Amino acid sequence: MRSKIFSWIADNKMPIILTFEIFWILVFVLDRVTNVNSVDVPQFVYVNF
Amino acid sequence: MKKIGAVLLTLLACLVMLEIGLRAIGRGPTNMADGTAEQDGDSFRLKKNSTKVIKYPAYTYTMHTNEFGFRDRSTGRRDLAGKPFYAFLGASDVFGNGVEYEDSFVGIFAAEAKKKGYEVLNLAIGGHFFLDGEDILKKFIKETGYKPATVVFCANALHIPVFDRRNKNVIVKSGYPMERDNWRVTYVRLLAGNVSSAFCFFRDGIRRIQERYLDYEAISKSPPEFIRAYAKANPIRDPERLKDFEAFLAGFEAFCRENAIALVYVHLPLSDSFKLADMLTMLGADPDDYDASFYGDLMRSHCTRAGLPLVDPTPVLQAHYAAGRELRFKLDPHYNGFANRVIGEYLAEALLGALPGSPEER
Repeated sequence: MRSKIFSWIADNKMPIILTFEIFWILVFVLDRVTNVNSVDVPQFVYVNF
Repeated sequence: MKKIGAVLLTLLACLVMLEIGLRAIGRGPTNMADGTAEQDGDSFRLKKNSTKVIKYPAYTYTMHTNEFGFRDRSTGRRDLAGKPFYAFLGASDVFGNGVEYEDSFVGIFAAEAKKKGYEVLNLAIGGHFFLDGEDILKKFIKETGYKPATVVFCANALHIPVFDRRNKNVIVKSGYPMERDNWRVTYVRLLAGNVSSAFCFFRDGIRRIQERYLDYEAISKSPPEFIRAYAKANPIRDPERLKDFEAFLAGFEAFCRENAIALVYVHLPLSDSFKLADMLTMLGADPDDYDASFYGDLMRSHCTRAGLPLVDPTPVLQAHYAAGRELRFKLDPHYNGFANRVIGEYLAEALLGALPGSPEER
């Protein structure tokens, strides 16, 4: 089972690494944006005019 | 196909890692509490005696409701027996979206009214139309036996064109009102916000990017609706439709007369009406096809004919806007604390003869 998983990872190394990198770069960017001068935590908007 | 599967599995693993990480540093999901609404027939109203901190991308404020389910300074009983009181009707702008009760124009007016021996009830609920407000008022009188001395009927450019609309297909789930026809999608978003820190992280981050870098101002569909409200081609300008609107107002006025309730109309301009010309230019529309003064003029001419008072803070708000003061939240078109104070003081002066604060502060 374990060898199967490792073999699957080896076969798909490139998409896995690219997805991983892009995801965490995006998280880093969003975190920078969200944390700078942010004072409130947004919530689901249900009421407007 | 195999690669897509790998990408999806990696994304899932990353989301799980992010979820665990966010929770570990104390950034839990933001919608942990129930919403503030309860089912009212096929419509909705506010829960009685509830407190909730409302946290939106645009603002954060605390909402308390009293024993009647109306927004108030705090939860609990309101002793209205034998006391004259004002009842405010309207929607989210009158409810005071975005500001604490004390900083809403109704709250500011209430503080001044108290000094003169008047109580104030705010019957406004965000998302309600004129007919919903009328229904709430009539139910309140019927259920409690209390009759307001004065009803302050607040009208704006978004609600006058749909004066005959009411909420009649609403389902309330977990305290949140949603359209019955499509409630599952809305509910899934709500649940996602309730259970997933990662969902909230991405949602909030995207909102902040929009706010900070894309000059993003209004949320939802309000800009097109707002623009359409002022179009000279808007169906409300049709003489027959105007006659129906007058008839609606006349019906409400008759109800007030029968119940010995004084009636005051308030025209509340939309915050963005002051920059209508700029917005039209940006959209490439012809300013001659739009008219920002229509609804104020409409209410003024009606009140003149009906012999009823109208309070319209448009000139004072316009003056502040012209002086460069921001009247709305950056991410939401509701009036900010400053504009609420201006409106509240204007109403207090007009209805109570009170002028809170020093002239410099005003």
